[in-house]
Parts: sequence; structure tokens; C-alpha cells
Amino acid sequence: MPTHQPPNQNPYERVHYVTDGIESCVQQAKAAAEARDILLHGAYTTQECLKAGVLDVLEIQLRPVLLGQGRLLFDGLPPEHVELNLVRTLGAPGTLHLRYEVRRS
Amino acid sequence: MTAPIRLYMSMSLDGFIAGPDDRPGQGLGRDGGRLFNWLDDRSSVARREPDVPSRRAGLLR
Repeated sequence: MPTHQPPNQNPYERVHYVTDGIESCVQQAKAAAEARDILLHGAYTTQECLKAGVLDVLEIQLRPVLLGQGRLLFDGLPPEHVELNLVRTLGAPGTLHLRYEVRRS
Repeated sequence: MTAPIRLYMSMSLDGFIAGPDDRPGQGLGRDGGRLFNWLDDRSSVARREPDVPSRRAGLLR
């Protein structure tokens, strides 16, 4: 859980707040996960990981709806292209699953 | 070789992952639940008919 300000009390022993940056958060997650997958969630974390160049895979469940307003997943990114490879698509009733890998230069 | 960092999220076609006013207690924003009813769509028409685009094709003039 990357954050600038952790809460005073944390009742969840498996939730760790990391305040020294997204790279530190990612390194700690990788160490804790060992060979298991690391899933991330949330617009803020996504944007920070993309900016830091540490996001590897984007799995989007694309919903057939235009919300019109709300929180954009890819908000606040600098004007630098992030190239992606579309590696899998899966059509299902009511959703389109898209899997992209971030292309590394 | 460490595991990849993988994002896994539902998103509207116009790029939103929550409706307006998302906050603790209303994490998906106003009406943001719309992003998740693919997990349980018992009330939707899609459950009763297969999603065949040719059946729904129309003509926009």
C-alpha cells in the first residue's frame, strides 16, 4: 500500500504501508511474493507504477459502458508514450478481456 | 526471476474505473457498480440470449 501518510492504526497484519516511494513498495511486494503473481489495483497505484516503469502487465476487463465522468485509470501521465503489446483478448458476454504487456525498450 | 507486476481492473470504454465522488464508503463512486455486474448479471438481458451481433444489427441513417 503506497502512501504519503499511513493511518495511525492498522488492524490488518498483512497490510503494509510503504511511504518511501513506489519503487520501494514494488521491491517489498516482489520479495514478499517470491514466485507468486503480484496484482495491483487502483488508479493511483497504476499511474505511479507506469511513471516509475515498473508495471509489466495490464489486464483490463473492458465494460460496454460509457460512464461519462469519474476517476480515469490513466490520468496524470506525462506526455511520453507507453508502448504496449496486446498479447491476449478474450470475449465474454458483457465484457472484453484485454491483456497487454508493457513494451520495454 | 521475479513475478511480473500485473494490473487487473474493470474499466469503462471511456477509461473510467470509478464513477464520480469515489471515496471511502463509496469506493466505486456514484453508480460505479455498473463496472462489476459482469460477475453477477442475473438481471441482464445478456443472460437470456447469446450475444450475437448480427441479431442486433440495425441501420443508422
